[in-house]
Amino acid sequence: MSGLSTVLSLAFLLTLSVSEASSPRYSWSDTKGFVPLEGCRIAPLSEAPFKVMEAVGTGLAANLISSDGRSSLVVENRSLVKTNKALSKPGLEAVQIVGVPTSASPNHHPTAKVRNQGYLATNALQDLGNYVLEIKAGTPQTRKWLTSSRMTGTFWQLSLENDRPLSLLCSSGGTAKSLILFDVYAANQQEPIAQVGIDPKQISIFEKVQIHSVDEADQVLDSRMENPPENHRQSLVAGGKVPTVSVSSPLETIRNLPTKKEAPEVPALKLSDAKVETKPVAAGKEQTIESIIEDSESDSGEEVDEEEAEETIDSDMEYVVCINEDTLAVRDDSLEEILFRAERNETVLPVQSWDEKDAQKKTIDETEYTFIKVKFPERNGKNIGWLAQEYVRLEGQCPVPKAEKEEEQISTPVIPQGVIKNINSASCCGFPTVKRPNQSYLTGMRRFKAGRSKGRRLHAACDLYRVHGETAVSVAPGKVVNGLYKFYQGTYALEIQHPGGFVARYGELTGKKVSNMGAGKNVKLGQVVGHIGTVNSGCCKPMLHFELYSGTKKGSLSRKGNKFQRRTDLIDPSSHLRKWEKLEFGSGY
Amino acid sequence: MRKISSKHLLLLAFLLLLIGASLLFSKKGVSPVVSGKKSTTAATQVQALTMVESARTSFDSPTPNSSAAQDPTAKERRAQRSLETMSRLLAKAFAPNATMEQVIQELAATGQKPFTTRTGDPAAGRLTILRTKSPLPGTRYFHAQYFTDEQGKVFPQHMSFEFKPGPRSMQEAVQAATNNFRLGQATEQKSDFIQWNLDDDYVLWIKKKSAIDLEDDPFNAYDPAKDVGTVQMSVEMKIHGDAHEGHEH
Repeated sequence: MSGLSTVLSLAFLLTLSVSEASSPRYSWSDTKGFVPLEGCRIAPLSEAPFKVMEAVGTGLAANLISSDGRSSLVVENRSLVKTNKALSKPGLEAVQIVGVPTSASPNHHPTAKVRNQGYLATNALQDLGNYVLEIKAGTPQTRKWLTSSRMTGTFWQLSLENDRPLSLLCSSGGTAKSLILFDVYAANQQEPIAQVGIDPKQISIFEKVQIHSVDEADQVLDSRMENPPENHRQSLVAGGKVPTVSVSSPLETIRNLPTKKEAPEVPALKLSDAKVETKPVAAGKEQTIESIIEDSESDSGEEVDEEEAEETIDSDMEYVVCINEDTLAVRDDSLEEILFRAERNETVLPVQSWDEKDAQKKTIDETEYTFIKVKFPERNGKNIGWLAQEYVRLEGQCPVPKAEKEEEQISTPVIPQGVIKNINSASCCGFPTVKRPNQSYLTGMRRFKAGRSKGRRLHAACDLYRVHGETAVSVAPGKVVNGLYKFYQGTYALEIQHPGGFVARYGELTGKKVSNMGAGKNVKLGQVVGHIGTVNSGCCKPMLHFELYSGTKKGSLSRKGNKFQRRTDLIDPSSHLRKWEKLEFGSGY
Repeated sequence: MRKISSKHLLLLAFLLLLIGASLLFSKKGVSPVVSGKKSTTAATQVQALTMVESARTSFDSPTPNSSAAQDPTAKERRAQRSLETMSRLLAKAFAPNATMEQVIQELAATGQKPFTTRTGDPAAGRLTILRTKSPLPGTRYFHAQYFTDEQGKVFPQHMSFEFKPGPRSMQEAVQAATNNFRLGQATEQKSDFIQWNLDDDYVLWIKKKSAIDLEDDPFNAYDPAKDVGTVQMSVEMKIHGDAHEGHEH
């Protein structure tokens, strides 16, 4: 489906480039992401249904009053709301919260969340035309679309003509839709990279936004460009009214980053302080939405499963300490004493105890936090303590980038120098164990295609007998496809795609993690990928279970339906291992 | 016979009162729920709301002070029920035509708060890991791995959970497996390990973990002082042969 939409979008864009020079147009769908538009016409609106909540005079928040008037929630300044004129009352607008500021700090009072509805004072609502929306990381549902299209960090402004917002009137299948039109800007472009029509009912893209005034947005965009323009972008200069309330500029937060700092006991997580663009655009590269979608097409070749989307997180199953500062206090069971300090992005394992609580609450500086029990697997000695839950996140959910650690490289294999283009290159490859296997991998049950289960299955690998805990190394440069996962009887495996597309599975490893071996990480020839393990049944000696695939097929390496229980481009690794063994150790079995 | 004075009677009554009061308060327990927040900020006109967070927060477990939690018999019964529930879930998960979504729904329906992560890509294999945040009492660290094959079919490659250590934990786990799976003769059997073939593709094994088994787990946190004897029940795709075919030693 995504492949089809790319073809359509490219075809559409080719037509568009001939007929007119305006930016490409898309609509946003909560389930399909960016969808190319055609056959729409522009029409002015009297008013856009979106407003920005910015309280005038009193403070930095306002009350969202429930429809029965009995209760209220706090709405943070510069939240995005959608209005419903039909339900409004004198002095009060009926609203639904669409997006909340990502820089909001913990509040003493119950805070309005996305999709909460109620009434806000009319004078607390400002025209969206005076602001620019910066799209942040998104929700689990929208993040994949934003990330794959690199729209995270772009700036959206209402398209205006004579100070009136514009809409796109589109008809499809007999139904007409009116979409609110936005111009989209990226850091290295002075002109909009696209126009996107927003259906007021499909607005998940705005759930995580940072709202800037027009002047602020110009400065933020300029700060990210190598050669910022001398004048304001013409399109971001608003002729309308300027907000009267002086609020702290997000730029102050960005510019005043501490260089090396110890966090207070429980720091407020200011996500705006973190690196805003997780994938900065290369200097000089023209970023257009069609090129972005085209580039990402190979990564998203399947339908979005709507039921799965809400809870599926694109990440390794690895939790980290997610903070901007360098360290965070780890507390004892009473939460009163500090045991030690965790480092930013340090790996943690949430504890699930049998009979004890693994979560408890504590109030610090009049704010209540939930603490959870965690273990620090990379530490020796005392390595279990309590951390505030909001700072323990899956690596893929943490906007603070992890610093690359120096990889451990055992020894430079003695092989002919030269670029490895594919598995048959003269310079391919290194042997996956650091010493010659203890027994031949070409005979007995260790060989490829050895019978299993009375011949009903066939062995899909060569088993390289070595020593428990000894390192296994990458046979060639490549990229990790899947990091450590459970493989067999208490051992683990990981998969690396090497030059030319061939894939190796390194199986029956211990669970001891090696740094920089997560999914998507690049590896070098000879780099340590893991440690040789032993299955927990006690049947067998420590071994590296080594599989090879040509890379001509798609899908998981394991599958059902053939005797190998493997993907159909499985190849016999024997001849390749013999060659590599001879290259590295001088002779082979 | 010596007479009991009124002074002694008063003392006795007072002691009885103390004993009664201590029994009464110990049964009530302490609520883990924090209720109410005071309005302190003058800048807003918000009316303070009483806010009760969900009692079952992530990684939460029954309050240790509750009488049910203190009664070892009740705890054991709960743990056994959990063992049965999880064994049954594993068996259903590997039935023909079972889907990952069904497993997720079942975990959600039992309040275990399932969630998934995803890595890989369609060209070289997408791996989805399913775990839970709120395990059933007496069990923990549910872990499932699903792959998407060449035909786009999603299938389970591994599924497991752990059962708490105890003098009869291994036997109870074996019994639960026998109750819920169609098991023939075990292909491997030792005091701390047992394995069956489920079919041509999968094995079921149960392992009583030693201190070495608890080392270097990339997903689960262990305390060697407390967790030796943890029992793991796993269903996973076969790699090796049956015991009699096993690797030469």
